[in-house]
Amino acid sequence: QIQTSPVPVRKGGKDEEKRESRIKSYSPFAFKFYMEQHVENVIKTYQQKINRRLQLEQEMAKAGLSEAEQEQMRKILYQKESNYNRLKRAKMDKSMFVKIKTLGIGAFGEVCLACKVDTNALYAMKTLRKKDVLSRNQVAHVKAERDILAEADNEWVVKLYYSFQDRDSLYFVMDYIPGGDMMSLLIRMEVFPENLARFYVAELTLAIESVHKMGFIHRDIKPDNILIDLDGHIKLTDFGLCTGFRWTHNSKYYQKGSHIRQDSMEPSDLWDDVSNCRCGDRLKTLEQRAKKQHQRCLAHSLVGTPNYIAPEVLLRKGYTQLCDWWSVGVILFEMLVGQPPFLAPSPTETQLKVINWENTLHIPSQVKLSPEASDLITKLCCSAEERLGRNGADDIKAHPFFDSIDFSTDCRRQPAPYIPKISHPTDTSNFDPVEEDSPWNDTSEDNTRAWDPQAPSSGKHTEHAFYEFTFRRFFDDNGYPFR
Amino acid sequence: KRKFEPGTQRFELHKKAQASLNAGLDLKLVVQLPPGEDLHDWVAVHVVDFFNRVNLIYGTINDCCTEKSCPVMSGGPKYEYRWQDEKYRKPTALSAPQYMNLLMDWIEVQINNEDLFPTNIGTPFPKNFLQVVKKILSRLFRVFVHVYIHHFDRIAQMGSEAHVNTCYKHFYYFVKEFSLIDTKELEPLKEMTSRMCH
Ligand SMILES: Nc1ncnc2c1ncn2[C@@H]1O[C@H](COP(=O)(O)OP(=O)(O)OP(=O)(O)O)[C@@H](O)[C@H]1O
Repeated sequence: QIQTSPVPVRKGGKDEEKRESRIKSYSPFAFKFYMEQHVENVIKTYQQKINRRLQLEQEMAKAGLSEAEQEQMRKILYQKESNYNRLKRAKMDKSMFVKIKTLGIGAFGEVCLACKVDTNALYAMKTLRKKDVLSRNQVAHVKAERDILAEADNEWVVKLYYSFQDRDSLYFVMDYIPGGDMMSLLIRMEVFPENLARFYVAELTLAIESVHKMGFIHRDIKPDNILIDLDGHIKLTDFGLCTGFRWTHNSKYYQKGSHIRQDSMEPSDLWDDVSNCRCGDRLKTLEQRAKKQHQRCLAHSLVGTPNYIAPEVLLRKGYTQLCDWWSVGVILFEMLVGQPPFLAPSPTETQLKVINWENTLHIPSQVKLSPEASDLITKLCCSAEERLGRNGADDIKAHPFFDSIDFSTDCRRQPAPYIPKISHPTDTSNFDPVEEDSPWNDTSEDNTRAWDPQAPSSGKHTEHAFYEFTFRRFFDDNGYPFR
Repeated sequence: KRKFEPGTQRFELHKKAQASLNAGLDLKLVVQLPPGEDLHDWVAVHVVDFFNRVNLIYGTINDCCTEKSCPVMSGGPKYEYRWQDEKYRKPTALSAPQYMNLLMDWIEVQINNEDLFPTNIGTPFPKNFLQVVKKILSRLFRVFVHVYIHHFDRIAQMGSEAHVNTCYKHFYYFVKEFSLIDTKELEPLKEMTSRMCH
């Protein structure tokens, strides 16, 4: 029995004889890895669809819509689902965005304010260089970050709208939070009045609670990762070190051979590498300010600063969600005292101070803190067994420091004590200026085409690391982020 | 030939990942068109996805699918596939790797053709869309036929039977659900299919 292929319609012009083979080899490991994730995602997508339908029905029942109105709403959802199916096939690349300004620089790339060309919507776009992510063994972290941002449908967490990749970089397109980060505000104000600190720490408590409820541990709560929105409320970002304890979040899955390298969160000499420091002449400014800025540069070198990391994490003793509450204590200290409690000239010394917190944690007597504030700090910066938060976030909310906060109402709907000044939509004055020598300007080669790691025209073996990275948020309001 | 020693963390992770391949997933259900959604968009997103996955499968065994090992593109002694297009005007017997190359190439051109697979919201699919999809899926099916019949030992040796099987099942349920491949074309794997897909 001989079967003949149907006659294909080939588009003229292309000379297929010169074309080299489109089929590339893949390692079995990469294939299996991809398939396992893929099946997980097929299930997840299916369940999410069902959930959206259920949710609509429930909300309609609550609203008491007429049968005709209900039918109308269903039609809208189904249309949106169909559009979503279509958009999943649309390839995205960085040419769909125009960069407006750099907002911040991190260890693996940068975050900039960008405008989506077709809709003119503004986003914050984070670019990570693949080779850095791979060489520093951060793939699992990047994966975790994508997952949490993609899954979070949570007002406390920055929303991810799209993630995509080209040959050299990974891109996260997320909500632009125009009020700047907490670190910039700290640098500007030096210390916060207790009321302002109370407000931020109360919100931080709720934000962390919501992250824990999603099954994640942030591990890297620090002022740089707390953003201030248009109305003065906070949002968390940078889940690079966060972990959801999924198998795809385990670094061990991304290494070849049997040598298992350290998790970058583990104490390491990486912290002593300050070659990434971009302070330069800014060190000449006011000493206090300069110190903080330098610290900020340290924070951006490689794996970040250990200033806010709980001792049990540093000691690799095994840790739980409680480690995030330690960071809250450190941040409260920094807000009220004007510098973090374990500040030291080098990350290694900071690390030692953190580990040795029993002897190094001092609230300077010349700083006048209320007894409640001091008490909360010492109940958060203590051994995990005694730390507040063992019974959940309610432990912390019940602390007398928060007596004047009403946690029973929705804090995000209350007016915030500090409203950032934003004079126009692309005003970035709340961010510290940064030099512009970014991967964006490096367009020497055409390497920015939309690109699927499992598509046939590519095929480096390490690429399995970035399979199933691409994401598009369902509720993106047709290209406009929700305000 | 276990890759990871039992008891190690790697082994545990590996086991967990494996389980997800079977765990409570009714692929038959998952492929059904959700009520109210557009059939063409539903089919299109699946076709692109299956193309990527089948391509990946072939990419894992193509080192042993050569001019020498497979001088004709076939599915066992009974089935031989011939290629025809603008260049090969008559149905031509080709080696399996040659055939696969042309096949993947051709599909890639189809799915990247905006007139056939529009990605802009609002652009309608062409009238012959399902016709083209049937061709694509029939050709993709031949990759499964060749891989299963001639290279299954390699799949087994890599320990990826479960992965390939899951992919096949998904594919099969999908084409059945929307009658996208002729029964005649499915013939070569009929027996295996009846054992695997219920
Ligand atoms: N969604 C956003 N909106 C506005 N600014 C943002 C946003 N996300 C990040 N930024 C700015 O960019 C800076 C760096 O972001 P982020 O911490 O996510 O990058 P990173 O490369 O992971 O850095 P790190 O070295 O701290 O891990 C932040 O401190 C903040 O100033």
